[in-house]
Amino acid sequence: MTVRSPETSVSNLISISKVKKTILAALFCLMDVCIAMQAQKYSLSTNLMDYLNLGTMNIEGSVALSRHWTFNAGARYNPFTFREGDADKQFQSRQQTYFAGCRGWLWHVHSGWWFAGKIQYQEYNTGGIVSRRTEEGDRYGAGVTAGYSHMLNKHLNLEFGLGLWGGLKQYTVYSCPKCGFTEDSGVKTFVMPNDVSISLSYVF
Amino acid sequence: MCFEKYVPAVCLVSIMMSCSSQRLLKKTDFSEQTVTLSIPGDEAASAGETAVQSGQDSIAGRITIDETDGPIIMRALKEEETGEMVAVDVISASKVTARFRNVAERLGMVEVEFDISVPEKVIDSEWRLKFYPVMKVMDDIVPLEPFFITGTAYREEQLKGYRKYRAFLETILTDSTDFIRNGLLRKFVERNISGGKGVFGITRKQAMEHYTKYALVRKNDRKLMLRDEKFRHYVKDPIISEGIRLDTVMSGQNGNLVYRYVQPVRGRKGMKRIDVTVRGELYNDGICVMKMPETEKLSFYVSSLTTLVDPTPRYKTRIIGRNVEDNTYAFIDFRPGDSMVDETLPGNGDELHRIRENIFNLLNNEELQLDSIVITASCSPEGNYTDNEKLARERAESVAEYFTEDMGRLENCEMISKYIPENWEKLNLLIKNDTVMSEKRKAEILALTGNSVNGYELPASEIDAREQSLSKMREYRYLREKLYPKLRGVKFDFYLHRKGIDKDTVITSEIDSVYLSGVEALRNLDYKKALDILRQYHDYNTALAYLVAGYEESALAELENMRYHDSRSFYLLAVISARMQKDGLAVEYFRKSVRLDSSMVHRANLDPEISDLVSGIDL
Repeated sequence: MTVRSPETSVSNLISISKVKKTILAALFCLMDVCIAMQAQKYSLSTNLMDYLNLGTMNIEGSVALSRHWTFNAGARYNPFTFREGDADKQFQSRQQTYFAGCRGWLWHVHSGWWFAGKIQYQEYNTGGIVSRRTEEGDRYGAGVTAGYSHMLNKHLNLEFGLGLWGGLKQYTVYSCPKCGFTEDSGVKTFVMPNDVSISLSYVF
Repeated sequence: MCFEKYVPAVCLVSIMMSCSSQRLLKKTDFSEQTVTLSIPGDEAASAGETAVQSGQDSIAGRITIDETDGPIIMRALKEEETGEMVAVDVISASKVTARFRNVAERLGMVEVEFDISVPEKVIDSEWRLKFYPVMKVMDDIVPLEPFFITGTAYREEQLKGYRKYRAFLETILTDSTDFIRNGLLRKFVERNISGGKGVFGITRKQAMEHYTKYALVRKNDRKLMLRDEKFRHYVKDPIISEGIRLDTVMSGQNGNLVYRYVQPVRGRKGMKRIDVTVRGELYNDGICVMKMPETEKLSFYVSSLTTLVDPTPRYKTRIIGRNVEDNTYAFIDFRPGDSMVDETLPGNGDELHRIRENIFNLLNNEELQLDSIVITASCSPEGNYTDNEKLARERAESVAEYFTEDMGRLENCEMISKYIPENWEKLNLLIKNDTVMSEKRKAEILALTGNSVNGYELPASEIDAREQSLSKMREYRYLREKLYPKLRGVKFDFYLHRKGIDKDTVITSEIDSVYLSGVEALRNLDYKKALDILRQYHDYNTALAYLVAGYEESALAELENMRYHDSRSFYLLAVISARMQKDGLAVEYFRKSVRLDSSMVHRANLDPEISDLVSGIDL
């Protein structure tokens, strides 16, 4: 069994956070640009369901390319480790995720039914929630999602979506969230639910 | 729950209730006459054909013999002559109903009145009875307004059906905005469409179509189409308020029902009899479950005072004058400057032939004698007045001479020739009636031609100067070519008198067709027209027209002014007096009428005003 300290992986995550800050800053810049640009072609949204995933912050921006198509890009970020001092009770669902893709709107952008396709990268460290086993690694893949966007008022939408994504993952499985005992590692394919979303969206 | 144990009982009761009316329906015998027609207030009183109806009491008089019964004991009386015991039985009272009645036509209307009797056994809370009276007038079948008897439970079912139908109608959307997701549309338009088109070319119309609930529209359309079907389904037998005489609601425990049906009928020529029958239908749960047999007919014999009309034709006086005048205008052409009648000139042959024929016809008329013919020749203003004068005179004389020679039989007829040198008067008339020239130009020309002045009063030189001035006007050519030829003609005035009439006027007699049309209108019961025509004649028929139209005072005045009276005029006086409540006078006039014509006794039976008054009097 390969021994790898989880501390190392956590430090790696923290070092990666600099990259995230840069990306988030870029997204907020994009939002500013959106406001300044033509109305109703741009939107920013956040998935409320992600916050239930141990406070995973997320944001997604979109720009309308035509009546039926938007380009979407976004990120999710969760740096939180819970009960960090107690090896038996620590749990986390840390991640940083970046994705980009297109969304097709059957009637009109930012209104009604839609379907989407995207590519996504995710670095993750999840464990201690259901069992003590902890998995960390990187996932690369593509996903499809479909949903409905309900107009609340002139600017706010409530979006519902459900999707899957799959691809390759390079992973390491530890026996607990805060120990260095490696149970498994390698590269393999995966398919998993994605974008189980109830999002609040602001349309500019 | 203990409710479950009541379920079978509830079901049983409801089934029993629904079946009760059906059972009653089966028990009720409709083969016999269930509904009867009768004349109101006429029980064994009226003569004529009668029908006997056994009342319920008559059942008591029926004897049923059963083999198991003991000896039949009947009531018996001892006959005095023979001393034998004679079995007697009392037959219960029977109801005798008159099957006809005499009805009087008054003011062009006849009132038909009859009772429809419906026995209690066919009146049920869950039934509806529909009765359709039918009237036969001459050869026409006239359906009268039906009348309905509706049971209370039946009516409740009807109302329940209406409530269900109303509830169905309320589900039909009538506001077109209900078909649109208005909230989403408003938000979408606010967000994406400013002005006519949106960011990506979306129009308001497209947006509206997108947010229209087409499924709801289709569903609503289906409901709209189903309205009639649903009405029939929920309201099987509708409640009608128009076109029916009565729809009464009864519980079925009110005993027999007698409905008095009164129907005014407009009188028609030759209308002598009206037959009435009634057929009935029984409805249960909105469905006609039974058709009742048609009732026996009731007959109403119509009597009208117009049968007393005097058909004698009337001759009208007419005043005819002794002397008769006629005239004609002939366009006889002459060679320029010549006065000889030339038959070879174009048109002259026909014109001379026509005049000759006219004179010939007048000479051969059996009623008229030709006294004189005045021939007046005239010229147009063209040329010298003096020459025209001479020419006109010579032409008139020439024409007179021509016809005198030609018509050898003019010995009793004087031929007089006259002339008009230049016929300015006719020229003025032609100009006034002309449609080619403008009004303004016509006025200018008329100012020059001196209007109606014919030129006699003026010196010849002035008349020539006037023609000279006329020739300088631009319309002169038109006048000369189109109007002047019409001035060159010969007028024939015929003076005649009627043969055998020495006086100036005579009074002749001929049938007065206007009066006849008035009498015909009276016979056709068109009293307004009859009165309009006959009121000027002041005779018996005038009085009759007044009377039948309801103007008794005027009728009385006309009759009182008559020099001679006959049985009919006395009869009318009797009717008028009866209407005016002068019974004694009415009887007196009736006696006088009968004295002159005994058949008037029977006539009195037809007129309700005097029938009661004179019945039983000693004549």
